[in-house]
Amino acid sequence: MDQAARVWEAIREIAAAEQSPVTLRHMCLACESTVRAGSVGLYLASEFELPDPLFATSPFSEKILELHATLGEGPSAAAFEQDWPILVSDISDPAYERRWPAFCTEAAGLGLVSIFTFPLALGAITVGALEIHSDRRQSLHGAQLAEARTFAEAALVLVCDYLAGISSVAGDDFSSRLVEIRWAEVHQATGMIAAQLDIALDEAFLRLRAHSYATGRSLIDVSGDIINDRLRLTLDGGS
Amino acid sequence: MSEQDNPFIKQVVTVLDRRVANAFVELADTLVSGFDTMDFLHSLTQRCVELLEATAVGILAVDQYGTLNLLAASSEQVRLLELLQLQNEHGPCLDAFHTGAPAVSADLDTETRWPRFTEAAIAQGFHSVQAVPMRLRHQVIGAMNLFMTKPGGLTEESVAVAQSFADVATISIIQVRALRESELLAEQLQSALNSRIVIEQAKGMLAVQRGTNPSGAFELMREYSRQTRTPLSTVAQLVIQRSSEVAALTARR
Repeated sequence: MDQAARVWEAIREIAAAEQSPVTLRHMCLACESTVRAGSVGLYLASEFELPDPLFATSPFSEKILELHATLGEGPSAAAFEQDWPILVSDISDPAYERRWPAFCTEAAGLGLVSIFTFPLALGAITVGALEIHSDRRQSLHGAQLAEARTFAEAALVLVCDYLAGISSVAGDDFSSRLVEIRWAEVHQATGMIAAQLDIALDEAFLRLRAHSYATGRSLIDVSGDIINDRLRLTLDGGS
Repeated sequence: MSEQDNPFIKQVVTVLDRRVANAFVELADTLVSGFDTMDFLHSLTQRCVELLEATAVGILAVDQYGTLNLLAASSEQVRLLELLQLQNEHGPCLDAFHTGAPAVSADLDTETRWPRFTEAAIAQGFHSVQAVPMRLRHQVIGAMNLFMTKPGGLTEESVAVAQSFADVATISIIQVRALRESELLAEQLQSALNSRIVIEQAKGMLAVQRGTNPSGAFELMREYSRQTRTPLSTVAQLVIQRSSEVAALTARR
């Protein structure tokens, strides 16, 4: 868990310097300064399954995010369809030009060379994507890649909180939160809530998270209660 | 595919009986034809239970933090899944993962290395446990865990079979993606772990729709998958999408 703890510390330091609670912006800034592979952009999943730009750490990244949203084509649009990262060291590689002709041409015009996209996925739920952009050729592997992936995992947790309307994040249990979102019962409970309330899976997960936050209990404990029918969430937010 | 042509068979057929050989042929055939990792790993854990002295078998794979996550189990009973997941903290699988060597406790009643795990295992009636590493060249990607109701552990021969099963499990996780893009091992593992989450989500939805519990829902999906020859992961996706294609499976009754 050392890596998760280090990543969380980097995010917290940036927030602390601004005397502010941790936000998604701090996460992106920490990713940029820690991974050192380029500037960072964050997309949310939109209703139409196209990437919706949320934040960028540089004007350059902002342009790439906007390009993606305008064209609806490129690595982040592709990342929304799958659950593994897309690591492109050079967008002038013919394989990528064939795959995303408009994006590669326009992005190259903006000076983009390397782009690394990490889908923020939890099973069948994709809440967004974290992306690193560079105007120089970069390759991401080994410890640096592991670090970037840990930021993507942190981004997943933070984006879910953001979408669940939880603005201030308690950081003490951050490592355990990264572990608990992989716990089988959490996802069984998510599926049960979706079927009980006849809502989408992502909304079910956010309701589960919101309930866990509001009652100060872990996701795993709340999920156990849902599975054993000791707790049933309702659409009006009560239980 | 004949046994002679099959690379998995050659190394084990000399020491093992025909039933084991047949199981490997059957598993290898699925690796080649229409292939779904989740289906495959579940079948593999069930073959282990049938062929070895184990009562329950689970497969755990490591994520980017070095913690172990559940990929498949011979039974979806909640308590077994919990026992497997407990090994995020300590347990034979975590040891096998760290050392790259098998870890064993022939008598859990006198075991002191993993107190929380041991207590939970004994509470479920297990008295010995074996873990074998899942290795790819020099890297360990996870471990397979076998639980026995009697003390004494597995015979040496059974441990060798278990290791062969673990090797095949490794290949199945890695090869599924080899044809797509040249991403790294870590991405392949992450994808497999994510597929497992999709199955958990579908189990929950189907449990409510069919008025059963999540492990009952898994059995229903598995049965439907077999009857319709649809990969388990596809069935799970269709359940989540509330597709009319799986109406026969999901209709409330």
